[in-house]
Amino acid sequence: MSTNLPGRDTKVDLSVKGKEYPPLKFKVEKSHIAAFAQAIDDPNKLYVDDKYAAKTKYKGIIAPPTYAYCFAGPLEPGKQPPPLLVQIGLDAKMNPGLLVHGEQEFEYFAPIHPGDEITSVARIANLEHKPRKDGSKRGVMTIEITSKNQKGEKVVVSRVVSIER
Amino acid sequence: MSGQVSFDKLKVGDAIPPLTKGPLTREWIKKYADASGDHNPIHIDEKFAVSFGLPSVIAHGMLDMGFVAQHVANWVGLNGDLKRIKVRFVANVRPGDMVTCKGKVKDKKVEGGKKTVFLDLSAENQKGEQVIAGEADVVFA
Repeated sequence: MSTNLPGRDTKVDLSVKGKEYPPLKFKVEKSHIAAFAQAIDDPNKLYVDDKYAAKTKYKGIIAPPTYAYCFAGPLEPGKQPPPLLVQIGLDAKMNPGLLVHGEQEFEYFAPIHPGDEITSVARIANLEHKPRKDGSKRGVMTIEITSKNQKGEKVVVSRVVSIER
Repeated sequence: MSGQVSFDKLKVGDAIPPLTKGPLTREWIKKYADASGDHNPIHIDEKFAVSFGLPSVIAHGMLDMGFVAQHVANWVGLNGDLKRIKVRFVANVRPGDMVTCKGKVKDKKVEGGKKTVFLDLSAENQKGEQVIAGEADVVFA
């Protein structure tokens, strides 16, 4: 798998920088929030306990902070058409054999509740060639995903930084 | 979920109580793959992970970030809201690893009536090696 080894200059296509993708819909389910919190082993009752959550300022169950990563769709390998984040990587000609999730940021604007219908728009916010330690160039990409709920309120902005090793 | 955290009492340089998670297991990582929908074989298929140049499967960076976000969100509890969190994935977390999340108050500010605490975050494994570097902004009520 020599083509998958670092040390070669990137083939990342900088011309797709700024490209915006069609909106993606996501329905927030109570059972999914619960399964997600359980998979992190996060005991916060706000994510699972209706009665407890109803008495808080949130007036009901909310999603854990990193749940918003699900809005870009399930990352199922080999799926056709490819999931959004995979497709964006392909469009930018990021080498899938080198691709790693380098950084992640979430900015929160409103809580996410069960029953919410989330619409997310992804954009290639940044795309660069950056030098590795050995002097070869690698691709670095920031995908910014803005998610709104069914009321049109912005709930979260997610920034995914992908890098070629 | 501390009821004691208050904007006025926090000082720059204060550490927030650490949170230790783990040990990670292959089953746990698989459970996160199912819940998150991220079935990248690097997390669940030992042979594939080795072909990618890794010694074994690795936990999703987003699972590690989940621990870091849990640490901050449950520390502030109902006293405020997590406004922003950003992490850099510094090293992989593998089955058998423990992850300890740490945080420190970097700054605090009142602006436009908003009381914001800025945190420096870090997560390390059982050997003390950093796996995540991060930061978060928390707005207090």
